[in-house]
Amino acid sequence: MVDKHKIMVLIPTHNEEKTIGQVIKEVKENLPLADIVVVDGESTDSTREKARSLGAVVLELSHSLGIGGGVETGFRFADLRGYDTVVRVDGDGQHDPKEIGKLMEVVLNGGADIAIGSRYVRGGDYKASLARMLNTKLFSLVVSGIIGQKITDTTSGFQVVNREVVRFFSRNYLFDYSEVEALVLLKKAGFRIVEIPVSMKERRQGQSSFNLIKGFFYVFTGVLSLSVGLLRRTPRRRV
Amino acid sequence: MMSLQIRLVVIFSSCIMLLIIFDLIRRQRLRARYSLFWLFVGFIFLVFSIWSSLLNQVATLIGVYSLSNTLFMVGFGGIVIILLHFCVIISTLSVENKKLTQKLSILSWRIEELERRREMGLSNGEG
Repeated sequence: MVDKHKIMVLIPTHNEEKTIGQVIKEVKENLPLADIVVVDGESTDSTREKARSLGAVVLELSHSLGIGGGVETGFRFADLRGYDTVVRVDGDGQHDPKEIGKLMEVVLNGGADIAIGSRYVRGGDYKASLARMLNTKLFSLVVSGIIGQKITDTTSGFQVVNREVVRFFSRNYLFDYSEVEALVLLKKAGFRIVEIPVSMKERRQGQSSFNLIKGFFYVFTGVLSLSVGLLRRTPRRRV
Repeated sequence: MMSLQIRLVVIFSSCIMLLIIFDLIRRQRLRARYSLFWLFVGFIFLVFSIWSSLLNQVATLIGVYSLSNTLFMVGFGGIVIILLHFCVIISTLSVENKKLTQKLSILSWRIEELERRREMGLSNGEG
């Protein structure tokens, strides 16, 4: 099953009716030939209808699987439909689709299997809150130490991946897929990761609920899950 | 030595527990594979309460003086194993559930797409 267009843009959403339209329009302007796939986790607003009216494929999850489960669904879909490259952007409008080209260039040139748009690599202009900054630094320290490569933005959902990474995630289920765990698994499996500085926009919808306590809890559970995950057997990249 | 009252209480409660488990299996409310650990714990309690000299030997072996405490320790250990067993089952089920949800969403889209294409084909044919 091979599609005409080989690039897929994956947008996981949950109640993002105010931003999804603009995100899809901007993605189309920058990647007119790509197929846009919205994976929606039980939105109660008009996110699904808006995305569908703009020509996106909408995969409706019968119940929310969290952002990780949504992303995994998108990878499964991309694997089934034979996409060569998957671009991942968030539905809240924080990622600037104009920056996709920078990430794609690295992956298409074979410089990396996964390119991550980082808010914190020198060259980016993101201003993070203290809680988020502490959280990011901690995760960055832990992940960089484990994989032996400096990663500044471990939780970035702005990514471009090649076919091999798509197949890897589609065929190897993670218990609780998270960006952090995925990075460690990818590196262990022998994939090449590159971070590219990007600028991020302000959230267009809602307020971030991130604070110091939540951040600490997030880091604690994340590091714990990461440590346990290290005990698991990891398949190699050629699956 | 364990008092007669405690022995009777343990024998009675073990029998009740085993009966409830058998009844749940009979009425297909509990799958046999998930009842094995419960049956095992109930059976161990019954054996120890009837055959107290065996419990005595176990108590001496693990260095616990009171037979009642030994019995509770065995029961507690059994329940911990059962809980762990259930956590494994829940983890497996949640992964299966996730897989099903993901497949369902993809299949639903494919059905809608096929229906849409079929309708388009039909309307083109009519035109």
